[in-house]
Amino acid sequence: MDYLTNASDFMKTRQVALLSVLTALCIALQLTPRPPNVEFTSLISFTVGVAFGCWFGAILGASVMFVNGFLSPYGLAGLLILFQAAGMSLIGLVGGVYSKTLAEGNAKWMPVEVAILGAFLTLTYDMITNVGYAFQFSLFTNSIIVSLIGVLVAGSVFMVIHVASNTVLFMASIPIVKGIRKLLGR
Amino acid sequence: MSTRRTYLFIVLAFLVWGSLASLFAGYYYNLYNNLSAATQKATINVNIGLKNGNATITWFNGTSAKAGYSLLTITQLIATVNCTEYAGSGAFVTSINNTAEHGSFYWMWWTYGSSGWSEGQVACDKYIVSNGETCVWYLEDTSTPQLLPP
Repeated sequence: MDYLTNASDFMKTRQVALLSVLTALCIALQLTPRPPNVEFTSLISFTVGVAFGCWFGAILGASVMFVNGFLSPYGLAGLLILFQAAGMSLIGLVGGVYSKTLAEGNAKWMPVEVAILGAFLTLTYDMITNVGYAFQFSLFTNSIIVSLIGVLVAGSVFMVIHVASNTVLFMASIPIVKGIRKLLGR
Repeated sequence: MSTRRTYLFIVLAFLVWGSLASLFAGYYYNLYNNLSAATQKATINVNIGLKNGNATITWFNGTSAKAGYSLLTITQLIATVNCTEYAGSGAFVTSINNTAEHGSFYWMWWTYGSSGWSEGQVACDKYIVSNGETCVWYLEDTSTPQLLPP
C-alpha cells in the first residue's frame, strides 16, 4: 500500500503540504518591506495554532523564524535564530492551547481576550529575543545582565510598536479565526 | 465567562502594561542620563576613528564639538559623510570620505566603554556623544554570524 491509498499517511502529506505553503507565505510576508516591528508571522502562527492545534502552530512559527534568520534583510541572525524560533513557536503553541479553552469563554469577549493574548505573547517573544541579543553581546562584554538591561532599554520603543501593532492585528483577526474554525467544523 | 478566566486576562493585561511602562521609564531615564552627561560642558572633546575593512584605524583624537552634538554631526566635522534618512529610525551612513558601503560591507559604529567595545544601538543622528567618549566607524562585513568590534 502506498501513501496515496493509506488514509492516515495521505492526511499527513496534506498537513505537510499545508504547513509548507503557510511557511512560504509567512516568509514572503517577513521579507516584504514594512514598518519596523510590524509583522504578521506571530498573528499567522497564533491563528494556525488556534485552527490546527498546538504543534502545527509551534512548528510553523519555528520554521518561519529559522528560515527568516538566514534570509532577513538585516543579515544572518546567528545564535538569535534559536531564540526567535523558540519565541515564535511559543505563540503557535499558545494559539492551540487557547483554542481548547474557547468553549469555556464567552464569544462576546473573544476579541478582548485575543487582543490581550496578542500583547502578552508579543511581549514574551520580544523578551525571549532580547535575552538572545543580550547573550550575543555578553560574548564581548562581561555581564549578561548589564547587556540585557542595555538591550531592553534601547529596544523599548520598538517593543511598544511591536506590542501595539500586534494587539490591533490579533483583535482584527477574530473573523479569520472564526471563519477557519467554521470551515473545519469546530 | 468564568471568574477565573476573567481574572487571568486582567492579570495578563496588567502584566503587559506594567512591563511596557517600566521599560519606557528606563528608556527615558537612560535618555536623561545621556543628555545630562553630554551637556555638562559647553564644548566637548571626543575621539573619533575611521576603519575601512582590515586597515588600521585612522584616529581624530580630541575632536572638539559642541555639547549635545550627535555622532553624525561630529563625524561630519572630520569627514565627508553621505547618509540615507529612514523615517522613524534615523540616518544610515552610506559612505565616509567617498568610501561607500558595498556588498555585505556596511558602515557600523562602535563606542568604547568600561566593558569594552559595544555596537551602536541607535541611528548615529540619534546618539549624543559624551565628553571624552571614543567612537569608531567601521566598514565591516555584516554577513558574519556576529559583528566584530574594530
